[in-house]
Amino acid sequence: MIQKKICLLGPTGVGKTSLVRQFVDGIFSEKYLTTIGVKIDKKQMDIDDKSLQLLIWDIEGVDRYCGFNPRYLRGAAAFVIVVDQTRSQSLLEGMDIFTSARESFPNTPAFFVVNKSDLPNEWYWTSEEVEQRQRLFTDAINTSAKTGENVEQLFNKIASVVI
Amino acid sequence: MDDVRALILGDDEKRIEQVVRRNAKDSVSEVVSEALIERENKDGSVNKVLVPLIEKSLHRSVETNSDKIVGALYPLVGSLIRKAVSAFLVEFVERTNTLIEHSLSFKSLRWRYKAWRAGIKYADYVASQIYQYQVHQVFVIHRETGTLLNSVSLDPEKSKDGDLVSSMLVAMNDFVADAFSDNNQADETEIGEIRTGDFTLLIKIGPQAILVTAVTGNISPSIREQLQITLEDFHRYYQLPLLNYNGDNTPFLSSDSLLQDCLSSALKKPTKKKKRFGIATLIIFILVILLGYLSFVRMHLSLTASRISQATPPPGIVLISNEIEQGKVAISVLRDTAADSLISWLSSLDIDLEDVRIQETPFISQSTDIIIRKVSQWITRYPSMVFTVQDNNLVLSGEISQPQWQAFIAQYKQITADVLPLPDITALTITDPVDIDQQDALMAVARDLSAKLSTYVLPFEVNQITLADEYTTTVSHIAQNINNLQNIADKLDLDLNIFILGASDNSGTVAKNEIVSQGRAKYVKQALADAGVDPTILYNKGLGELDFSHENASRVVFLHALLTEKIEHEGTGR
Repeated sequence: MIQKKICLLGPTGVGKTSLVRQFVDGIFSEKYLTTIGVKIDKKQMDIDDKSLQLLIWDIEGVDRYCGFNPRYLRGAAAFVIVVDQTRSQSLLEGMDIFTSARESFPNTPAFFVVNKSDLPNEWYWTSEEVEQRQRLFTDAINTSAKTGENVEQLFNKIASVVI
Repeated sequence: MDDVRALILGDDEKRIEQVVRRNAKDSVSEVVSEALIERENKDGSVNKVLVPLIEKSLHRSVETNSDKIVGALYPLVGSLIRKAVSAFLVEFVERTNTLIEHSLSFKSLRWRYKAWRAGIKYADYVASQIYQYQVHQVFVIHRETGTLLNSVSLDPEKSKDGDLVSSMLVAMNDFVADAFSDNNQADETEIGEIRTGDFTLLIKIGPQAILVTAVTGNISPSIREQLQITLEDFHRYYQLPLLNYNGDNTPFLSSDSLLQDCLSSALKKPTKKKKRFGIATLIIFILVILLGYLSFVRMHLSLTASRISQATPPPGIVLISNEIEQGKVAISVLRDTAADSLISWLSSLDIDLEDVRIQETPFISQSTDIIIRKVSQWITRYPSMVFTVQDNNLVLSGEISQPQWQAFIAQYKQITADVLPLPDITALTITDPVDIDQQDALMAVARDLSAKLSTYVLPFEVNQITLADEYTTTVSHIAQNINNLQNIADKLDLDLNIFILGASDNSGTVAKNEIVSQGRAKYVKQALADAGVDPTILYNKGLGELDFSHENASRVVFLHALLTEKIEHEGTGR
């Protein structure tokens, strides 16, 4: 069995923990819990007849007051930047985190996730502006941790890249 | 080959050679890396060629540029030395603290003695006694990714989820490094130990791998040393798989035996000392209770025996022995059948009869009380007679026929065995007329009494004319008999005269002895008169010396009763 470390990054409250919980346990809770430090989960997958275990590091949300600790990304096979389509600021903050991560880890595959697709798109970014940023990533996907839309697909994409 | 080349190329060979040489640098630089890898993978010859060259170059470089190399290595080597010294000091201080804590106590003296007997150092013995620990689980973690490479557990069923524990430990280490380290990457702060309620996680961090053990108990410094050795061995044996790690743990599966070395323990076997102590205490407690009970019983019996000894037995009972035997007071007594029962006597003393074993031997008591009691029981056969006791003398009153009287007096002598005088019959009326036979009977009694009076002998000490106190009772008995004889004599109409004859031994002069014998007779006469005898019938006479073979027998006063027919000139001859 192959083990791979995957890190989830992003601004606070974009749904990183909910994505992991939906993927690992298949459940969603409206209750909001702030992650402090790191929360780690694991999930086994089978990709192309190969057994893979993802160790998912759900890193606490980064904001203007809380700096990003790049050490958490050390040894990661891939990292995911999660943003919230109901908050315009989350895209800018997510891209700042991405830039910081790229400085330390220029070759690590990175995935762009626009979460909360079950809610109306309320940010003022045009599709072009979003796509322009998505091109900097290995791959991009819109998800909903609440409905589970594209959550499985997101991790399948990651698994197929890191394996 | 050279001929073929010359035939084909001709004069152009040199020109071609110049062109190739001019472009050789570019051509080789494009393929040199790939060519080296391909050749190395093919036959490993690149390493064989390069290693001696590199070693030679390094050697030359160290010789010529030692200052630069020292400068470059100093930060790395300095950090390693600091960590090694720090680890050594921690171990040294822990061991020293332990020795100090256990150096001034009774236990330490005992340990020193045992260490001396075992032939080992005191410090080693202390360590073996103090450090009680158990390594439960060992993890080896890839440092960069935080993934678990391998783990072994003492009890696989209780082992924790190694994947998550490993990742969290690395995350915590990252956090600590980020929070507490300065900007110098070479001097990174690392977690060495995490303590929880029961467990201590010992963490040893290597360049590529982290070794973690979950330990319970008081951890010996030796276990840290073992961890360091295992971590170094792991890096040595799995250097290439660690460097090329891509998430595949297969190369590390064979490290089980290496990690097993860390699953050590130092647990003392539970001693049964406390249990032994408990049994011994129980035995001692039971013995103390038993001894206490026996002492109590013994004391109780001693008090019982003491009470019996101090009490005066009732008349007719004589206590012979009173001892404690086989958990009881054994009493041996002589008892007259007329006496009170022994049980009633003991009950009156509040003595539990369960504590007493009685051995009773019958006997005939000479006690006046018992004899009176016997007489009083027997005399009920004569209902016409009334029986009273005055100063231990029997007084009879009422009426009785002459034959009954004869039978009574014979039986009376048998019962009293001469301990009691004959009863006072002054107030007794013998109803039958006195005929010849009756006179003969009274005469017989009178003769008996006279004969009895003759048997009384009152001894005196040398040159003494007074009797010892012990003969006071005898004098009373004599007086009683004389009075009884006087009564009978009156009934028979006879005169009674009592001669009191004193004698002495021959130790003094004849004249002196004459006086002494006369004094003794006179003394007895006065004593009888004092006891109630009519003095007019008493005559005293000193006989002087009596030449008996036994001189003590000579110092006596003896009596003689003389019954004579009454003369008409009564009272003139006395």
